[in-house]
Amino acid sequence: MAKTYQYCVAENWGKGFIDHVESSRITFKGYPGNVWQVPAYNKHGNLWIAKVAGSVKTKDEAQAIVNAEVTTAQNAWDADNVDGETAEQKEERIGSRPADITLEE
Amino acid sequence: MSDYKEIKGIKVQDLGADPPAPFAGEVWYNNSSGDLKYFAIQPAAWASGGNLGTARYKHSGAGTATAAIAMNGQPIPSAASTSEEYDGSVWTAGGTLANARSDGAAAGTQTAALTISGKLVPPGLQSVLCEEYDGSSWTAGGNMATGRKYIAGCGLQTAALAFGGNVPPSTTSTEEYDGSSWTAGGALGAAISYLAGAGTQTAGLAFGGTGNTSATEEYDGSAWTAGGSLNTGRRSLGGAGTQTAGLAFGGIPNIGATEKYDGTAWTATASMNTGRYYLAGAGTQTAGLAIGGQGDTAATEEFSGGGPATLTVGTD
Repeated sequence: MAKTYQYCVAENWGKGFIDHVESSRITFKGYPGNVWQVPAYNKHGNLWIAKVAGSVKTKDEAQAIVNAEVTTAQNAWDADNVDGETAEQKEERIGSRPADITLEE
Repeated sequence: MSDYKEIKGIKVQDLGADPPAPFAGEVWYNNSSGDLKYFAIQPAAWASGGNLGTARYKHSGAGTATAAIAMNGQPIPSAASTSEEYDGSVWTAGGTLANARSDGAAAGTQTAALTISGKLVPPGLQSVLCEEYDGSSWTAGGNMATGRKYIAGCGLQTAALAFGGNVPPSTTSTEEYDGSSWTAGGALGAAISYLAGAGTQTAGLAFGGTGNTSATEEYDGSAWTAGGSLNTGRRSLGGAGTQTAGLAFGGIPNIGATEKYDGTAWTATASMNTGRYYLAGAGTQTAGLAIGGQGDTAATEEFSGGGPATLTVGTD
């Protein structure tokens, strides 16, 4: 099955990382670990990856990076406790527990 | 190979200046600047903005896309009592607030901002305290009648509106600020927290919130009435714009979905490049700003509502 997306790792340096023209041409999705999803077999996606000097990853490699980041965040969330605090109070205090993320092929 | 004349039946115009009222698809050569230009309808899109100096979530934002301010939030202590100013490219440190807080609201501009209620951290209790910013330092503002967290706000420092939030429980309460004191306004139709706000004190907009609702309410300076429903219900979202030109973006469940409001109905537009929640918003429907968010992100995204624009071949 042909893949729909390709993945890369690139650090978002801020202004100019994704510009309006790039964003209007292709759909970007950012994930934890500086993982970015762009359309596969797409000139504009390839040009953007080159621009940001992205390190291209397979879907499985990208998923492993995202999983590691999410696990770290989940562990930090799990370890952040206050004596006598209920689960609801904890969620109020620091927000929801980071959810697992599944990348698309 | 075909050239422009074969395709269009006319030559590319050679002009000394850009035409004053070009039509969509028009192409010309500007012999003053040496640029080949065209006029096109640009789609709406989100682009990367400058990164915050301090990653933050559960914070507040105000101002415009080129003159914004972000304040408070988590993590504690790095974000809770700090503010940052944005010039359209770069965030720089702003004044330090007297109170460390998160989950509040904000109103006003970069040089005349108001931070509204929220919870003091620690201990995490909702507060009636508000602070005013003059572009360099924060000073105490008037105290609200009812402190609450997960509240929304809009308007100006001298004409602000605060509504909803969690006392607990969630409340319908609205309060109006005149620059020195808060007075009771009309009650929301439904008690709600984790909502977003836009507009002014006399033309406010409340949308999204608890239970990932799609509900919208409009304020006329005295009473709230039901507005059009969001296409994607959500809470802990960002908001910007006005009552008749609003913008909703992001929110739980971790989405980047963006919608535009015209005073009657919400329509979907370009999604953010990174879905997020617990973010702050600023700006307008055509030039919005999404600031920070969950995951302690420092990322900012800038929304362009699109529309007609003169572009240069090879650079745009």
